Amino acid sequence: MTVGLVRNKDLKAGIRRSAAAWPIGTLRYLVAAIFTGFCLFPLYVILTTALKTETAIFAWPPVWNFRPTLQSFYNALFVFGGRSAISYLINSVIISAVSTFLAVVLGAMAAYGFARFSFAGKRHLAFWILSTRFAPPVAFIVPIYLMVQKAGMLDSHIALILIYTAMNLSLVIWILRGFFSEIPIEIEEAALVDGYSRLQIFWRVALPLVRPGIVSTAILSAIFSWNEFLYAMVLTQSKAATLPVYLAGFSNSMGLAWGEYMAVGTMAVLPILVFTFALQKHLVRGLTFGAVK
Amino acid sequence: MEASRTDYFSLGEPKPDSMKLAVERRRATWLLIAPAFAVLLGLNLFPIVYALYISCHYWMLARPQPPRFAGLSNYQELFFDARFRNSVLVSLKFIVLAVGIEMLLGFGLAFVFNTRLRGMATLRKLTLLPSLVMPLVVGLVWFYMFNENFGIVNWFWVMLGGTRVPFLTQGALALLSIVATDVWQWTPFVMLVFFAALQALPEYVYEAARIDGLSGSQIFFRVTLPLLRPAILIVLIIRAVDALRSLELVFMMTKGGPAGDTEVLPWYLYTTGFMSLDLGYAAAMAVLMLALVTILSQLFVRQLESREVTS
Amino acid sequence: MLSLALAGVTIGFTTLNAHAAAAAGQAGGVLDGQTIRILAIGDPVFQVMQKIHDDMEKMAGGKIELDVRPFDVLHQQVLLNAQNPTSSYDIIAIDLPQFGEYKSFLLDLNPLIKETGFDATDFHQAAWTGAQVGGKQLGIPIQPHPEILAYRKDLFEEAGLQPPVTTDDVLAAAKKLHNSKPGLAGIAWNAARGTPLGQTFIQVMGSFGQAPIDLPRTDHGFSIDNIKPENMKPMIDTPAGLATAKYLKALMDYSPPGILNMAWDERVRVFAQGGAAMTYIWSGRSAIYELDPQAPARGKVGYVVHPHGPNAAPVSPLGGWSLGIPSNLDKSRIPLAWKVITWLTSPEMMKEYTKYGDCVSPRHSVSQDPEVVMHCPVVPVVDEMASKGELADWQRPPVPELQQIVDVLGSVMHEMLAGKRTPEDAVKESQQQIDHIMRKAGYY
Repeated sequence: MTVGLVRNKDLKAGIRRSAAAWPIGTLRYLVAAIFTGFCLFPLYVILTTALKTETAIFAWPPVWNFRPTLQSFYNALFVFGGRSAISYLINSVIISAVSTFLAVVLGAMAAYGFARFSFAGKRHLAFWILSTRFAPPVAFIVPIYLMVQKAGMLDSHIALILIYTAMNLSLVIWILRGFFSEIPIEIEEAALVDGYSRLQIFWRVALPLVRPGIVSTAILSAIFSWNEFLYAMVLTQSKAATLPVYLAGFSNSMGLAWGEYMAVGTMAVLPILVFTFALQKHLVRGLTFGAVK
Repeated sequence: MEASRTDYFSLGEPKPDSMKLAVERRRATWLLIAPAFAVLLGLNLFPIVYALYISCHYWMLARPQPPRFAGLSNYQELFFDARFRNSVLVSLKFIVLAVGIEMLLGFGLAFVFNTRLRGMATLRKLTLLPSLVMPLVVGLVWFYMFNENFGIVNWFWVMLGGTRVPFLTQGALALLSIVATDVWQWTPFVMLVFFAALQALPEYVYEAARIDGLSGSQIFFRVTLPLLRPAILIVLIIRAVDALRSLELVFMMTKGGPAGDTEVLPWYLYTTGFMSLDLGYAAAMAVLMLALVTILSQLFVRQLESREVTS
Repeated sequence: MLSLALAGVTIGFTTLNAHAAAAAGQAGGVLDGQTIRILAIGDPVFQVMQKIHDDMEKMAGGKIELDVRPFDVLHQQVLLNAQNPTSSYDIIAIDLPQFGEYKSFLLDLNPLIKETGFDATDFHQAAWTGAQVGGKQLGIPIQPHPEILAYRKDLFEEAGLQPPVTTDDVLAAAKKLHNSKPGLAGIAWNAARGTPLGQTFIQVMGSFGQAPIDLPRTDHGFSIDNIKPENMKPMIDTPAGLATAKYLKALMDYSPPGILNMAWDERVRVFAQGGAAMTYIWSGRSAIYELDPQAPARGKVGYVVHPHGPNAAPVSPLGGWSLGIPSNLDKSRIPLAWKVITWLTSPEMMKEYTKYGDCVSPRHSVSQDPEVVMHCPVVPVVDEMASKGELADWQRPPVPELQQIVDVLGSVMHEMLAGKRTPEDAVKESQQQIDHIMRKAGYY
């Protein structure tokens, strides 16, 4: 097996590793295909179960050829005993969107501050902000529940929005800091000489130049907010309840409404898949906090 | 982030304006950083202090009696609590198994994908999907697939000659099933990180090694592995902390059962705090968990810091 | 991309509103165009409501938002909802033993009862008083029913057995019938870890003549009217407690496979499909087989009160669900909530429920209705038990710590059933843990 790198130019330069290169290539394809199939299979199950009839869902052996039906989607969205999934869907959209917006705005500002200015304790503050990424929701939910309850903000959109903003800030700040520091300083110096204020430079000069970073951190923040379930479940009931809260109400011992839940599951998963396919390039940087570029 | 490079204030500013600019600069710094800092102060630092406070009380939600100061008795009780010890043990087992397998698989697969062969890039992009799916939905679909009566995993198992197995309700199997689900979800993430790290390896080091006549395996152990060490540590810590705090899979698939075999620390905390509504006791657990996470995050930060120095 | 998302959201909104408008289109009816929000459990009566949901919305002339949740999640949501500044729900479902825990969050319905002249006499006495705490009426029974023993009359006749009266009868019958036919177990019951087993324990202990805590005794059993702090001492480590533990352990030998994970739905399903000769059952769930023409057990089932231990009286624990109004509900919505509760517990609606899978009737009038008796043979049996005074609620006293008691028993006794503890050890350990809980709560 060849270790290290296999770069195109090696092949072009005619450096053939060995005559054994071809079987290795086939082996790679095989392993890669199996792994990819394994990754995608459960997603396929979600979609097909959402499209199956009730008898097909419980069938043994499992049914691979079946006549698809939209009954489950219809039930989940419009019928299903009174509380449709639509209000949960809408809440998810609103809360994800607003919290992402806030996280990106506040985060970009702070990121620029860290990238361009120095002040006492900057290093400590930066690393503290980074460490907030690891905050375990299950530990924080105890004090935060009481805080939200005492503030009278239970089952409100604003509580979740603020919490999700806090949850995503460290990601946004850390990534955008890297992007900001890559901007050539001469551009900003020139603007300074031209008489722009620091804040104007941030807004008009620096920000537009980090657009790719903004896009990727926005998408990642949106995904994390969208997927979050513990805070949502404990802090909301009906008015501000998001999709994960709906899904968390599933229980095997009553009703067995697999079809409807898979339908809602599909709705919960589809937007993410669509977005991230577009976003591949900066994903690694985002997911590892810039540790790996 | 070298201070000298970014502190361009000192790079030839016209002196008469320096005072005004200094004030403006301080104001700008404050305005830019304060909002984010305030949010984190209120929603991250303050809750930690508040959790400490709560943990020193007997505090039951939804009871007529008001909370009662109890000193360190919650911690004392935790020390003797067999169920707490079990949850820590189960969490440890889960983390070691799940993260261990993810690291090995992800590492190996990164090499498989590390090639310009046609189509591999698309396959690689497709494999990331599990890591982005809502964990609750992951729990839902694997709960369906592991089902004793109509689950697909059982179908495969029977095809391979076994009998129907109650994956999620039988002792040790339950934890292994949860581990398997976690491995499915996060191996792609680990693989992606290692892949990116591999792609970023400097070419010249390899050329030098080849010129020196090092064999394939020598290159791997003496060159590749050490260069990947930072990435390994970083992804290890990220996965370890995320596995420690994850709750969704147990919530959807086993709810801590059977008989506590999958009762990880987050699950015990959650049932104590929000099913039994014993907030004081749950807060004590939360504080301990936060202490552990702080240690791990300090390791992460230190690792990141050393990377910055070298890059 | 963004515009697509916006379009999707708009379509979603419009459809939602159209649906609401369609339902609200009918004027009149109990709801008169408004929406009612109900938080409930997945028990038979609410499952029936889900089934006939659209018809009910037409009858009521408005939207019914029915949130059905599993037991533990419901319990959590009710308590968390009580912490909200205003309640997110108009009506909540309450299990009979939970009134003690919820008493400070429920509205006293007596003023509303007086105001609207609600007639309580049609209800079973035990069910009605079961929803009272300290003289306040905190709920209206909608699905109160006792846990009784169901047995296959045909199998018993074949084996020459009499219907079981004592716990020894149960063990003897179970032993004789277990595996007498392929796939037939002696008895099915709730042995799943947690609430199912915990409740089983204290209910069976009641049939051995002991309440879970030190309640004052009366001639028929125990009194739950005035529970004082000194009454909160656990009584698990007693002869009755030990006898219960041993009885449950003995049942394991005659139970179906998977018994350690069996709970309310599964035990009845197994019995319905002919997998067990007997089962403990909450009477309303008998609909699972009585209304299913395919069920092997249909029409062949006899019912008796909980078999009792030596020196104990026959008594079945009363349980089941009532509807209440959260005390933090917006004042303007209270009249609507009351109107809907009255409608949902009316004789007409109760008769409807029995048609679709809920064999419970706390109303004497409905219990005597020949149509109801035809599809739900268990109903007159329960009616008779009620009149004989064989239904009681002290097995699960309405104290705030009841759920914790059940949790402890549900896990310690499960270890005993799994073979990890002896009955003596399990009884002592449960006693100790519950005692600790009571001390922590400051009762003594």
